[in-house]
This record gives sequence, structure tokens and C-alpha cells, in this order.
Amino acid sequence: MNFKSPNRDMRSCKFILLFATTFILSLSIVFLANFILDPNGQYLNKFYFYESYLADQLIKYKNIALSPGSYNDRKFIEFYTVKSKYKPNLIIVGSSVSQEISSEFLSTRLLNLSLAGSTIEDIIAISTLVLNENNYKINNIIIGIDYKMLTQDSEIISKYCSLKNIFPDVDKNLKINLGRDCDFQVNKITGIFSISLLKQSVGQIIKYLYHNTVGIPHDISAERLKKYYIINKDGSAVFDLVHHDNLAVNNFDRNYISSSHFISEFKLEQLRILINYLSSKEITTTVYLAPISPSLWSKRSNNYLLLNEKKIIAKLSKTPNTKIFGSFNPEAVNCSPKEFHDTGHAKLDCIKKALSKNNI
Amino acid sequence: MPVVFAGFFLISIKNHQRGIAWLGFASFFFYGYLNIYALPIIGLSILVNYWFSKQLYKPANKNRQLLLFSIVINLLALGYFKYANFFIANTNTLRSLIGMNSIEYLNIALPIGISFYTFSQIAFLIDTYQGKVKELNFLNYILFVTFFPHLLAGPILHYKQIMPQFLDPKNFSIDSEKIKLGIIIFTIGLAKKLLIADALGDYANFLFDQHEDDLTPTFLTAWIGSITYTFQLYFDFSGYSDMAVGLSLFFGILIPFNFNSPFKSTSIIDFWQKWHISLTKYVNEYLYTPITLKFMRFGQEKPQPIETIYSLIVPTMVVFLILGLWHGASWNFVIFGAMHGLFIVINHLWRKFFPNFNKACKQKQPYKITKKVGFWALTFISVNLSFVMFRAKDIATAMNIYKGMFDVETAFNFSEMTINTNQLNLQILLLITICFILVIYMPNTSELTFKNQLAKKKFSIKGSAGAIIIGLLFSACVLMLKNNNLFLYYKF
Repeated sequence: MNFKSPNRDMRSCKFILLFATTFILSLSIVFLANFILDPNGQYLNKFYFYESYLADQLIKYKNIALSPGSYNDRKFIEFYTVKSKYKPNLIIVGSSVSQEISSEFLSTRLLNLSLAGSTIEDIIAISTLVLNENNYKINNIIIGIDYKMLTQDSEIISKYCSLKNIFPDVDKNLKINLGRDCDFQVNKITGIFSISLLKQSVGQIIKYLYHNTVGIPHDISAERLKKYYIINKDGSAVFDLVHHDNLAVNNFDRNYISSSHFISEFKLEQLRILINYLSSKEITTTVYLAPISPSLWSKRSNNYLLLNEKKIIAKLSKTPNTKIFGSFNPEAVNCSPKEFHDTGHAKLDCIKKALSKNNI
Repeated sequence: MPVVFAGFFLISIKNHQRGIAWLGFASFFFYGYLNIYALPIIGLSILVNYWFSKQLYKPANKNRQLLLFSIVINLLALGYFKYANFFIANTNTLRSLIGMNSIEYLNIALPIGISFYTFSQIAFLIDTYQGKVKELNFLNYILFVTFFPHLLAGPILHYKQIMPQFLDPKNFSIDSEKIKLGIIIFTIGLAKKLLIADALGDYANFLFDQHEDDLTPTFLTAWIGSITYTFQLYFDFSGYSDMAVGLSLFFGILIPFNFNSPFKSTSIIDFWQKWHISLTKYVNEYLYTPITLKFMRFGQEKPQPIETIYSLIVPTMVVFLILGLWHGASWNFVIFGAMHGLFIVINHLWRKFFPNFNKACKQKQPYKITKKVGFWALTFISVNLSFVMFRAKDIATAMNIYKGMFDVETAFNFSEMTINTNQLNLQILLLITICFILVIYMPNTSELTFKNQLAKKKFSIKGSAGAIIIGLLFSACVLMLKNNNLFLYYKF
């Protein structure tokens, strides 16, 4: 191939110049969008937080429907906890297994801050956040532990990292535990050019412009809304767990096959330290070990679950002001297959039984 | 990179050899940056091989024994670093059968790119012995081996492909046309890697990592997962190769493309002429031809089936078993090689016993369609099946996935297909469809940049629109960069 000719050179130079301009311009747009909109509050931290808006909505309407994945649930909890004037006696932290526990169920003023896919670090971060807020005077705390939360590779990195501001040890723990960083939230310099941050930034604009559609998810059909959601009097809606999609049962079962099932001593130790800390603040902790469905129990080799349970009980029973209720084993708490939404989430009847089984 | 680029052309103004030295130093620096402990190994390898080359270069010293000895030394080094623990593992299996204690594994880290630079140097030794090497210069030799764009994952270069370019004075001044082409080719390679291969990786990993135990995937999960990996490997490796070509062009050096639309192939022979071309050429020149010539002697004047065994089956199988093992120290790779050896043998026998079919394909419409669709599908499926063995952690996992691939009963079980992959469904099907369109209907990088541009074809990148498209594509790639964007072929 002949590369040289004066005309070609001119055209090549123009091509290179245009290429470089496009590249610099594109990156500048991303830089500015991420910096100004700042969806994770790393840079300007002023513009707009969708989660803050959601927290206001929840405080105002008491009940709102949220499309999963459309918001950062950790961030949402942070705003809600700070803004809410509600005075609970009890808070609940933990994963989705404890999300269903309500004030009516326990006949007390409670604030349920459980998060789907919670890690032990989430629990520590949220508990610390609540304790640091002056308006909360908590005497009791329930920690909902699912069978995989304390296992070796339980991790929800991106969500967990959103709490970095409240829980400064996030980076350190991730490094020790998983050998990883908090994605873009750690590196402010390269993060500013992150496409995932840009996606969030664009999302912020859309949410800012169309936030009035929040209340009822706008991306579902009327039929689906009627079938799967409970519509509240004020027009907001909540997901109706009675109509859990059957497919989700299969999905859930398979989701955890790759997990390393054995308990992480490091995570268990973190939980113990947290409970000790709570105890020093005169808070009684109830650890709730959430049962899994009999079908999942029979499918999985359950020896490791029993072993894990024994380890948790042995470790935490020595901590002051601590009660341990429930079991991963559905038979141990007399829960039948019908008392589960899916393979990992017990219904209230089963939760009630589990919370009456005292291990220590 | 900008420092290396500017340094090369500034230093080369006064002295070309210093420019070569600068590039060699930069290549060593990059290599050492990836793994400092591997630096002495490549250094020693270069020194030893250069010494052998010097001996073989002397006209009076055409010593065949010395050539064989130098090749053996290289293979021993490669064997030690790459296959010692594999050998120990197999020995231990045998020892356990007769109740003997296991031998301890060696603590060896595989130096990155060792297979590539060892093969390149063996080729250089043979070329020197055969008198093809016209000039021997230590600095040029260092750069020939270490030239960073191709050092880690090829292409495997021959002396004649690169050395004359180091000697050409034109290559020591900035050529905007080459840089422009370099930018285009590099960006296409980067996009292949970051926008396609990495996006496919999650799905492929899902199949291969989640079905290691007795959990057999369903028919659709197995096929979608395996096709996903086939495309991941292609876009990852060809992406790397394109980037190597693009980077080289910044320095005025044109290294050969390693892929030529392999998934357009309608036979497995055709596939190997288009997939990892530098390895195929290497194997053909330095292994297949000499081995075939050796074995053909045994088959001479024997009945045709015996002659076929010696002239075709034995050499093909031997070469492909070596080729499989070259990829890594595992029985999976041996079986991968054996599968391809078998496919090639069948392909040759088909051509031998049904010669009229090929002629008919060129003339009659129904045959043409059969060849285009049927043979293409057969080739693709064969390659796809072999890549399951290539990717699986062990033979048991591969067999488990094969079981799913042939479990037709679950073919219409769509709900099971969606397991665990919340985004599987449309997203992955869309990605696979895009991949099929790209590999079957679109021109490859070489065609986009060289051939089509010269022939003024529809798909070529030029003008302002081309610059903006490439600029946007490059930006998208940079924005997608993560710390863990490793290339699959690094480990080979």
C-alpha cells in the first residue's frame, strides 16, 4: 500500500484533527455532566438527588411505590433516616427477609430499614447512621440475617459503596474482604469519566423532569398494576407480595448456586463488634435467622447451613444484650411450604414462628 | 504511549538505531510493568537465542545439530514454565493408582506471552539456518522479539514480516496516513474488546462458571452461553490483534492481521486459514509440512487407505494435538486440538471422496445454497462445540455443558432459560444477533481500512463522518475502560 502523497497527507491530518476534537469534546461533555449532576454526591453535591425527593414523598404520603433499580435504595434510606421525624422504639436492619416486618405485626413503633441484598457492611452502616442521628432514641434493634449474608462471597458492591460517606471503612473492608475498590466512587478522577456515572447523571435529569410520575411506577401496564400492586387511597401503590411472580421462585433458587456457602469469620466478627457496640449504647439486639423454604432446604446440601447457624449462635450468644431467634431450617421453626413467597422469603406467619424460636 | 511515540521519532531524527533502542527499551518497560519477575526470563531467552542465531548465521556453520539443540532448549524452557505442573499432576494421578506419594507442585508463574515469543524466536532460528535472514543486528533482534504491540498475544511474527521494516529509513519519520490508519484500526480493535467481548463475557461466564457441578444447563442456556463465549473469544482476540496492528502503524510498522473473517468460513480448513492466521501459518510451515513429509514416506507404495493414514490422518492429528497443547497445560486443550484435528481430517476426506460436490457448488444454485448455509452452519457449530472444551474449567464441566446442548427435551423450556440472568432474554439475544451480523455480513478490519478503501467500496471509513464516528467510538471505549479488562489470550 502506498501511504505517501501530499493530498492524502492533508486529508489524513484533517482526519486526525477531527478525530481528536470529537474525542476531547465527548469526554468534556461526560466530564461536565458527571461533575454538575453528580448523582453520587462526590463533586458538587448540590444539584439534585432523586432519592431525596423520594424520601420527601414517602414522608408526605406514608406509602409510595418504587420501581426496583430506578433509585439507589441505600441513598434513599440515608435521606429518609435523616429527614424523617418519626420516632420509633425499634429499628429493623437486614436483608429482604426482614422487609416485611411492620409496626402492626410487632405492635410497636418501628422503622424497618431492611434492604434487599444487604451485606453485613450495609447493616453496620445503617445502624451507625441511625445511632448518629439525634432524633432517634432506640432501645431495640432487629437484625435480619439471611442464609447467605455472612457467607464468603456475599457482596453487593455498588450499592454498598453508596454508603461510603457514612461508613468510612468501606474501602478498607472491601480491600481486605474482596480485594476490590468501590468502583467509581473511590476514584474521583477516573470516575468523572465513567459511563455508568453518566448513565446515572442522565437518569437524574430524566427523573428531575418527570419526577411527578413517581408514586405509581410509570413503566408498568394498568393490568399489571392492578394485579401486582396495592393502590393506596392517595393514589400511590405498593407491591403486593401475594402475587409474587412464579418465575422469581426459579430465579431465586438458581441465583445463589455459585455462592461460597461457608461462613466468613471476618463478617461474623464484624457483626459481633457491631452488637457489642450497640450493647454499649444500651440497645438490645435481636438477631433473626430467616428460614428458607423447605423446597430449597431439601435441594441444597443443608449441612453447611446447619454448621453456619451453629457458628453464628456460638459466636453471638456470648455478646451482651443479644437474643437469637429463628433458624435457616424451615422445619426447626415449623414453617410449611405455603408460608413462603418464594424459596428465600418467608411470609409473615412463618416469620412469626421464627421469631418465637429462641436459640439462647 | 505518547512519550514512547514522541521519543521514537525525536530520537530517530539523528540516529535510527537509537530509535530502535528506544522502542526496545519501551517494550521492555511495558513488559516489566505487567510482571517484573518475567523480565529476566525474556531477557535471558533473547540473549540465548541471539547467540544461537549468531552461530547459525555464519555461512560456515550451518550445523543442523545446533539448530535442533537450540529448538530443544526453547521447548524445554517453554515446557518448564508452562507444562511442568501439568506433567506433575498427571504423574501424581498415575502414582496414586499404584499407591505412591504425590510429588509437590512447583511454584511457577507463567511468564506472559512466553508461547508467542518462544515461537517467534524458534522461527527466527530456523529462518537463520535456512539463510533467509539477511542481516543480524542485536538491537533489531531485541525489537523483533519484544515489539510491544505484539509481544503479549501475537501475532507470531516472522523475520521477513518485520525486520526489513526496521531497516527502511522511511519508517523513521512521522507518516500521517499511517497514523490515521493506526487510529482507525486501533479503535476498531478497542471497540471489539470493550464494547462487544466484555459485554459478552458476563453471559459466557454465567454458563461456564455456574455449571461446574452436576447442574446441567438447559438446551437454550447451553447453546446461547456457548455461542456467547465463541463470539467473546473472537472479538477479544481479534480486538487485541487489531490493536496490535493499529499501535504498530503509529511507529510506521505494518504487522499482519491475525484474523480474516473466520466465521464466514464454510469449512473447517477455511476456518483455520482465517483464524489466528499467524499461528496457522507457523504451524503449517514449521510443523505440518515437515511432519507430513516424514510420514508420507511410510505410506509410499501402500494401499490408498494406509497411504491416507500416513499422509493425512497421522500428521494432522499430531499437529493439532500439539496446537491444542500450545494453548495451555490442560487435557481440555488436548481434546480441543484433537477435535479440530478430527474435523480437518473429515474435511479433507470429504474433499477427496466428493470432489464433484465442490464443482457443483460453483455451478448449481441448490448446491450453492447448501454450501453457503449448510456448510457454514456445520462449520460454525463444530467450532462452537470445540470452544466449549476450550473454555470449560475441566472435562467434566465441558461434558456437563455438552449434555445440555444435546438435551433437546428442554429446547422449548423458555422459563428455565432465563435462570439467574435477569438481563439475559432480549439483551443477550440482541447482542448475539449483532455479533452474527458483524461476523457474517460486515467487512473485517483489514477490509474496512485497506481493501475497501482502495476499492472505494460502500463500507469504508473516510472523510469527516469517518473521523467523527471513530472519535465517538474511541470515546465510548475510553469511557468503558475498567481495571479488569484483561485479554483472554494473555494466558496462552
